[in-house]
Amino acid sequence: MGQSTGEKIERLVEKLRGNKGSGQQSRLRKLKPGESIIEMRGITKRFPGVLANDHIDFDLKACEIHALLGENGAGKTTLMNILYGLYRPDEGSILVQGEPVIIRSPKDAIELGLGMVHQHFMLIPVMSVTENIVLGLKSAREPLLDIGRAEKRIAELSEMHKLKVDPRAKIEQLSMGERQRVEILKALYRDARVLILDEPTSVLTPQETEDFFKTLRSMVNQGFTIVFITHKLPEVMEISHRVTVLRRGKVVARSDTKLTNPSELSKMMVGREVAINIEKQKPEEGKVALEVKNLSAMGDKGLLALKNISFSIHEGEILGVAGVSGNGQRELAEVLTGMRKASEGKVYIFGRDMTNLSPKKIIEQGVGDIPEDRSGTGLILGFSVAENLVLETRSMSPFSYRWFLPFAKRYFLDRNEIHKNAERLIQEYEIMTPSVDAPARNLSGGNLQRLILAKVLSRNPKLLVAAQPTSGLDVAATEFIQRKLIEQRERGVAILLISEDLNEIMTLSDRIAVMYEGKIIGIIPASKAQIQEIGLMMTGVK
Amino acid sequence: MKARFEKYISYPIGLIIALSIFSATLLAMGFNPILSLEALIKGSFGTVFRASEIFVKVAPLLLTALAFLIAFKARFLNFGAEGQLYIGALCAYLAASQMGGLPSILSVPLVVLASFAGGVAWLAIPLVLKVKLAINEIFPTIVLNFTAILLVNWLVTGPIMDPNALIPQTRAIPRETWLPIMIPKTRLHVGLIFAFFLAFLIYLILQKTVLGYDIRAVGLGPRAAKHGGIDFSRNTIIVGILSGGLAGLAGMIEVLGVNHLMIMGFSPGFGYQGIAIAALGRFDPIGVLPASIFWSILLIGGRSMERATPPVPIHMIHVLQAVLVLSVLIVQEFLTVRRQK
Ligand SMILES: Nc1ncnc2c1ncn2[C@@H]1O[C@H](COP(=O)(O)OP(=O)(O)O)[C@@H](O)[C@H]1O
Ligand SMILES: [Mg+2]
Repeated sequence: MGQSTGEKIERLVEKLRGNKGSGQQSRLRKLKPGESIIEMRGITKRFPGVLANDHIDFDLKACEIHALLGENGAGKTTLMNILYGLYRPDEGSILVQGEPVIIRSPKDAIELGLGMVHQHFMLIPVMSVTENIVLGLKSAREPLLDIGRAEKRIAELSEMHKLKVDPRAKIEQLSMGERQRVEILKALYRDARVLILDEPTSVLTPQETEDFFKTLRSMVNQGFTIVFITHKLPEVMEISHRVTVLRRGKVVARSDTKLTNPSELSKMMVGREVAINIEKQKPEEGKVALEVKNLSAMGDKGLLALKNISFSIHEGEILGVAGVSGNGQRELAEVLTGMRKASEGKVYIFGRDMTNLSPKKIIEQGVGDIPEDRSGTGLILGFSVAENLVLETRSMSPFSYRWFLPFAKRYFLDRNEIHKNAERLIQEYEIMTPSVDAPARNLSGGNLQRLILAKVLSRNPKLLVAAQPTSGLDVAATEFIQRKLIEQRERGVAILLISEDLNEIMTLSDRIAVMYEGKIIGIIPASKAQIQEIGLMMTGVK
Repeated sequence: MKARFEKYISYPIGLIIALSIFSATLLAMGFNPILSLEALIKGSFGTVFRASEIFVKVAPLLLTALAFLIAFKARFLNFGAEGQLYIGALCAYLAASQMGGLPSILSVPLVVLASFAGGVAWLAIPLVLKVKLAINEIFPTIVLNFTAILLVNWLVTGPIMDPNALIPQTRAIPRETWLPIMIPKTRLHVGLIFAFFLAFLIYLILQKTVLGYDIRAVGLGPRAAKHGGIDFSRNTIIVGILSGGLAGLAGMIEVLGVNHLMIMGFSPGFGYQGIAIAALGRFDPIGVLPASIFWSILLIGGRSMERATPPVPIHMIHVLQAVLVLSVLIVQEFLTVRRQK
């Protein structure tokens, strides 16, 4: 949700209107299951400094679920954006039912019967579900809208495909799962026959994922074809008929799902065997780094989001906070880092009362934060990689100096030092970027997170708050980040780890706190924790 | 490298498009576009005096462009430069008229300070509303333009009007406070150098200082800036002070450098034109230099088009300016979109 509404509208309008739709290409004809409907041949796409797609061949058969598997930055989104007319390939051609086509814009793609649900939803928060769905379409009563009829049709579609959503609700009131259903309905409303879903499960809870898979299966039975982009192996095994694996812009494997297995796929996807096997030393009991006493705070909607929370973390200890997201975790992190005011209670950091102080004061106290919202809160996308890396240290030595004003504050930036710092950190944190002067906007998700980690850890924090640090990241980046967290713990840093991923919580934490509806239901030592028990606590059963 | 090339190529392309539209319009109106353009060019470069007049106008235009730009960097939209310019001029006049007998070295800096303060004062209300109550600045800054202009009109037609004058204007300010002329027999005064110096200073602040970093951070990622310990209010207030002050200085330049008195309607909308120039210069403190010079050429040349036979209405120049800004921006946008595809 990092981008402004204005930006979203702009992108939407571009997406929906397209530049110049030719309108002459044939729609997908009646499809026979198994018939080849789309073929992409030798697709190559270069971005400044990256070869995002390198002569990729990809084919799609009618009525299949085709998984497109690959790590972050492998080029999956780029390939599908090309199919959907958002990018033009530098080389290669696209055939639809054997006929070559040129897809200049999403409008062309929609006319062909394609629909795409992006990783980041393209919905306007203040508008209703129906308004979002009909946006950019001609209405039957032009120039007037015909919301009533649209609503009826949406209700039908949502009934038919079990995509439950209230057509009159405002987008901003909806959960991520519901928003995704709106996006799918939007494509169906435009008569899409082929759906491209970009990492659809990354915003869903496990329960929602199950329902979502049911919907996908029933859609395939009704004659839809689905491209399912993911980097999660179990999902590929569970839902797909065929799988294409991308690595660094190239196709490395293509197979029927039945004929392959997870370990083989994972080896091909990563290029080596990975087994996340993180070992921890026994914790050394240090001083109390963070103490939270009877903390309460309001959420964005003016309701109490944190209810009388108390806990403490020692140096060299990881306290994991488990819970389904939306149960107060984000608000907790925000209060601790000064981004949200507490309405009651106290926060002590190394014994000092830091309740409701500014982010600046809290940073100076040695607190580092890896926020959940990476692109909006963790980084400035319009700033270069080098500039982002000194966001919290810009007014310290050696990144700024006093010039000939010896008593003044450090007013002047030292571009040289900032540059050197960035060169060092992109090495150390293996950040893939064309240069340190490239805007952060150009980095892929995993690299953005490495950038944030480099920014925060390079100033040696003593207390670290990490919210969903590996969500949406591929195996390699996840492993890297988890190792870094352990490394910090061994250095004596106290860590508050907020994560929806129970496995992550179980592997990394020394103690586990479970949050439900703004409260901490219980805190258990990790050695005694049972995954089932925590699962029950998370859903409020216990 | 390629991006940089595209950044500049948009100017010639935009100019060609704008001139074609302009010529076509002139043709349709029954003028000979070649003659009109010839008049425009002769009118602006024909003589030393005319060429110097270009730069006389550059000074206030550059300052109002900088005023808009610096605030824009922190996403504070100061549409009130026109009003701040009027109040800056008024303060400059009031201060200067008290300084008869004082040496220039003392009086001019005091007058400069007074006009800066005047400009800031006129932006104070929108600024406080924004910082304290999160009220959007656009409406308050625009409304205060009219208030300022009406206030000055009233003053120069009454309380501070020169009783011997036939038109609404004040007495002249003391000679010692006039800005020195750089080229004899022209009106080109040192205010131009001052404006160039300020453009360079703003460039230094934005690119080389922690303050500039903070300002840009607040503009590009307000939430990330806050999270990184950058204070939104503090930086908004600082850009507000710089912005209002620069607009006030533009008013001072007109009083001390050109008119040497206050006169009704002395600004042909410098404050508004600064916004267009800032956009034309890509919101870059160095980019607004050529943009303001180019703008000024059109202003000066446009006047001689009006004097040509048959006279082309001066409004056509405003049309050309508007079409030019639009075509350059559209070409830039087009090139960026195409590069990303
Ligand atoms: N618009 C863009 N400009 C520059 N680089 C891009 C752009 N989009 C993607 N990339 C780069 O192309 C590569 C592939 O990205 P992407 O297709 O998003 O990967 P995936 O979806 O598999 O995670 C990455 O290195 C990414 O940084
Ligand atoms: Mg992607």
